[in-house]
Amino acid sequence: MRRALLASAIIALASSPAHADGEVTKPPKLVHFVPATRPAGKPDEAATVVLAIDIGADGKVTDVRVQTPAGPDWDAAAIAAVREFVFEPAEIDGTPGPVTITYKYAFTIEEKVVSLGPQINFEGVVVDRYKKKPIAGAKVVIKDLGVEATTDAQGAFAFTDLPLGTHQVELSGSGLITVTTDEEIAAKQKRTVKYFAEPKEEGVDEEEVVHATRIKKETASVSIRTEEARKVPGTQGDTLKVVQNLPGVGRSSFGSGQLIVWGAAPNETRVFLDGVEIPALYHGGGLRSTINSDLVKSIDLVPGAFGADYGRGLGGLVKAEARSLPRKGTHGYVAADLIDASALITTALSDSARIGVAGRRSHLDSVLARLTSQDVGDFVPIPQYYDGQVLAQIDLAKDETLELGALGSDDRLTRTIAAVDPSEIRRQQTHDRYYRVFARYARILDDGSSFAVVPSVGWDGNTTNASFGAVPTSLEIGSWKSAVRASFRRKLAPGATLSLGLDAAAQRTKVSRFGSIDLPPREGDVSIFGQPPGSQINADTWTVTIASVAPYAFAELTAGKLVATPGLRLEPYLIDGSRLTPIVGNTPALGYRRMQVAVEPRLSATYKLSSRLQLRAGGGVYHQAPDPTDLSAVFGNPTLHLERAYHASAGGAYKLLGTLSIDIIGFYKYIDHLASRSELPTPPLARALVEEAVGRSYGGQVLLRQELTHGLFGWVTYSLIRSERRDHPDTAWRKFDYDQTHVLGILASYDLGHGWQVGGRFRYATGVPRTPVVGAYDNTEADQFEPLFGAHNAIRVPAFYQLDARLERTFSFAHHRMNAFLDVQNVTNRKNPEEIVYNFDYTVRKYITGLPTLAVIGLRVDL
Amino acid sequence: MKHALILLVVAACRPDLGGPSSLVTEPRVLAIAAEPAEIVPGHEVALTTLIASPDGDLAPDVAWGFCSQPTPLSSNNAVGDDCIYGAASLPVRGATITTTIPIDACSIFGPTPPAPAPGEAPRRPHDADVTGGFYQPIRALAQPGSPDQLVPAIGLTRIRCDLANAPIAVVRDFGQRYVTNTNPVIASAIAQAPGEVDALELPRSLPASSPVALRVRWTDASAETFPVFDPRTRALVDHREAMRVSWYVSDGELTSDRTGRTEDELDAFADNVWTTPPSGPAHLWVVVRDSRGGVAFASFTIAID
Repeated sequence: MRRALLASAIIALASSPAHADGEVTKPPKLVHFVPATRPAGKPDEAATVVLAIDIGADGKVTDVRVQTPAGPDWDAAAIAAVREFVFEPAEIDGTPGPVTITYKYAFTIEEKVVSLGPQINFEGVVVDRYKKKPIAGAKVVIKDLGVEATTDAQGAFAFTDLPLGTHQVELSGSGLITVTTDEEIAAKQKRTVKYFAEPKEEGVDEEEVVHATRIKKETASVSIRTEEARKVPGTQGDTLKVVQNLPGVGRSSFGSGQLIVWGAAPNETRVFLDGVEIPALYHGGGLRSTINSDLVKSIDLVPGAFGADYGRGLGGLVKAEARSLPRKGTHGYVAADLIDASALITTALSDSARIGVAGRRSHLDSVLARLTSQDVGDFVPIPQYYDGQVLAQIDLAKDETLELGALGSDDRLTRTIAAVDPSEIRRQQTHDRYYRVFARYARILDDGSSFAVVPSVGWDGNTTNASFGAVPTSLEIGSWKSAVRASFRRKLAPGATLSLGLDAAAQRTKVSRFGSIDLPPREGDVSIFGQPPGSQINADTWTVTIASVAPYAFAELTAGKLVATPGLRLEPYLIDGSRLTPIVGNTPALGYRRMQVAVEPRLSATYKLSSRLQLRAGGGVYHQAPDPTDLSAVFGNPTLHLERAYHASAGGAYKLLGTLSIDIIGFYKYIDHLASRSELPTPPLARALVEEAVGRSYGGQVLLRQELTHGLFGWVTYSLIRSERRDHPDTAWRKFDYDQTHVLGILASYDLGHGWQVGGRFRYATGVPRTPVVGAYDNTEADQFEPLFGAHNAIRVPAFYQLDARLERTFSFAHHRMNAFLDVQNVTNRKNPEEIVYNFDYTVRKYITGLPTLAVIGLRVDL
Repeated sequence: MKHALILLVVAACRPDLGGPSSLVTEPRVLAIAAEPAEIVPGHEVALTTLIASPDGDLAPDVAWGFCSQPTPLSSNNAVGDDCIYGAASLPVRGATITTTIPIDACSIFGPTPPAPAPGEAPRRPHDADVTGGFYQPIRALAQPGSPDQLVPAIGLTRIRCDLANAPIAVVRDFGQRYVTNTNPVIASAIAQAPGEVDALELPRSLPASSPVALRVRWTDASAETFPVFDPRTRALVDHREAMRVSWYVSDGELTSDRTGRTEDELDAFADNVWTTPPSGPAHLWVVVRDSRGGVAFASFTIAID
């Protein structure tokens, strides 16, 4: 033993996974260490300087910042030395990328025997999955040893002299949901890992606490970063529209923008923004999303078999997460184009508070009126829409945040088809809107537990006034909605984390309806496009309150390579209605109130067969309250109960290359207690609907995905889905109205260099089912032929396929960046059949075709 | 950040579906008129068909049958498919018949469903149309040519039923004020060729390939006023019959297949323009309908000069 003066450095912070389905990747490795020169006159003093080091994709140090100073001379000495360091570059999914680590440079004096053996034998880095930025503040615990480290600002962590063998490593901390993995420490080898986390978004302060991996409770889910989504051809930069290109999602019907996920009806899929349910992801026609894309950080699509923390839906989930607003300065944009005009401004009110305001208004309807024929308005009504958002984010304390938000969306459509025949005059006015005010309080406790609560209130309104000749239709729906979501998550023991939550929601809906019972049509109705509704009319006004409080719990249990997430959700529903029977004479209304408890077990599990292959399975029971509009004593059935679905899915993910992976999922869903029209010509009173229908969807999906690396991203999706319904016990199974057997999507975008980016998208989808017309008769009273139908949904609209392309050029300037793009839909000008139409006596069948080539040129300037 | 989009090309395509409904290219049942136009079930009604072909009026054999079941709630059609070829034929046949409306028409197609069997729930009354009317559908299978050539059509005979589910005072008021529908009456049908000072009554000869102005006029009494029970306000509302005119030709081209007057339009006529064929003769049919199911029709053979 001899006395020596040493300048030692310790990488003190840890790496963590960067994304929900992430793999352990490689952190930067220090390959060229340069000792610091001790400041003059301080040969026997000790000091420690904590530094933030930016390491480029080439392993060179690009920037060094002092996080915890030790004094100007110590700081300068440490910085000078670190600037000469050379690292073996970090790898993100096998691809070198820039990272930032926290480095603790200690000037120490100690006595020791100089050893040539490795001191750091387990190190790593937690990096942003996409931008290669580090994640700071993550806690890495060697659970079997009880030692831990925290990632520095560069996302780095290190452990020295860990015992040989397999150790259980747990990643947790601020903004993180715990994940656990095993790492093997071998003799004379340094284990270097990289855990990748959720992407940072544009405009976010690089120093902010970064969200890390969330536990993947779902068997099948796809997360898309907004940076990728914005470049997808055909979306015109609207990141939320990318959901329509994900696996398991059917092509929405012509101009509808509906979400058809795993063969579910659009009203069975729920959409959330930061835990707040919104009724519509897209404006009418699917032209734009109702939330400003620049306020959205990420989009998760879970097509089914989701966890216990969500319910009240039989289909899938779309979860959008609001972005963190910039912590410094004022940013924003003003946009105007032929589709709409919008604006966004964000500003930091203080070091701990910031606010963003966005708004949008459409004008495409007036543009199309000047550019196109009347046919467009006849077949594809273009709505007028507005939306607005206000978002405020406040840091109450370290790991304690409050978000306040207000959302609003408004769609209006007015259409009149004039005719000299009074019976052919058609008028339609619709007005759909929603408003939400919400708060989100989140806190990370000192012991790593996390707590969040999201209260919200809002109002949804839908108004339809239409007439087919003298047959009127009026439907007015107003619904007050309130909800609270609260969750608490705590690690109970090594490999066991428990989440508890309460998901409560109540809505009071008033409905006034007047007109034909056939309008609006229901899924399963047999009719043809443009056919007038029946001439019989009625009226009803009713009020329904539906409230449910769902306590739920789920645990994340890790046993070796197996991670199981069992969960349970208990949801008692209270349904209170104003009218059990139609009005008869002057008899006063008789109301009703009933309760039904939904017991919803959920389970998902993943098994990691190897570093590349992971198997997944999941399932559960799901319920959905009846639609308040179905609870009419005149048009529906006030006694309808909860609809129920069983989901099961299984599959696997295989990492072909670092950023190239393939996911294959199979699924089966069975739904019962579905409402359908009574098959009786004269049904019992207040039983126009019956809950006799059942449904099933089954199939699989494949996602071959190349994540953004070397300027290339893209994916190939293929979904093979069959969705069927049986309306009554004595009827045969039929194809679901939204069934699309084959849906193929191929999408790629590539950075050509020098600011050029090119992309393409190809889509193929089986046509939706329709019921064939096998004859017709002349209704001489109405002077119109009426069709005689064949087997229900026995034919299909011909398949859809379309090629889209996108070319963009980015210009970088000193203080801003400009992006110009050309987005061309239907490059080949294919006349895609969208709907079947017939001549007056049903002897000629043809198709309405979709839009021909549609070219959009855009310009975007980032300031 | 500034964002601008330019939409370059937008269009949509409506297919060409061929000839209009006003062009008679094969035998068709254009109208079925009931006399009286509104009838209490159990009473006799005379049914008269207007059957047209490219060669003019036809009077073929017609098999009649009453539909026995209403259409399912999931269908927009006036009758269920079973009625077209499944309805039992009446013993009388021909283009014009007299028959008796089934006594139970108001319980099957109207607002007074039959009393439920013990243990069964009461049945849902059928909804009235916008004029407050209920109808007994009757199927007509015309056989204008070979036995295999069947031309199906449906006529709806308005039936007089009680007003159901309304307050007693409204029922009483309705019974006092409601006027049973009568068929409209065509007062005149005239045509004016280009260059003519006055329009002339049909039938008449017309110049070939010329846009001829047509006008059909009905009597002022044809558009009647009647009370309707409004299910929203649960009160009676007075309406005036809207009038529709369906035009048919065997050749040439009409500007409109149908014209008419809403209940707010007091004019007792409707116009159209017929571009006559290059040669004749041609046939023209006019069917006038009121909104309560009343029908009047006329047919003309036109010499083309």
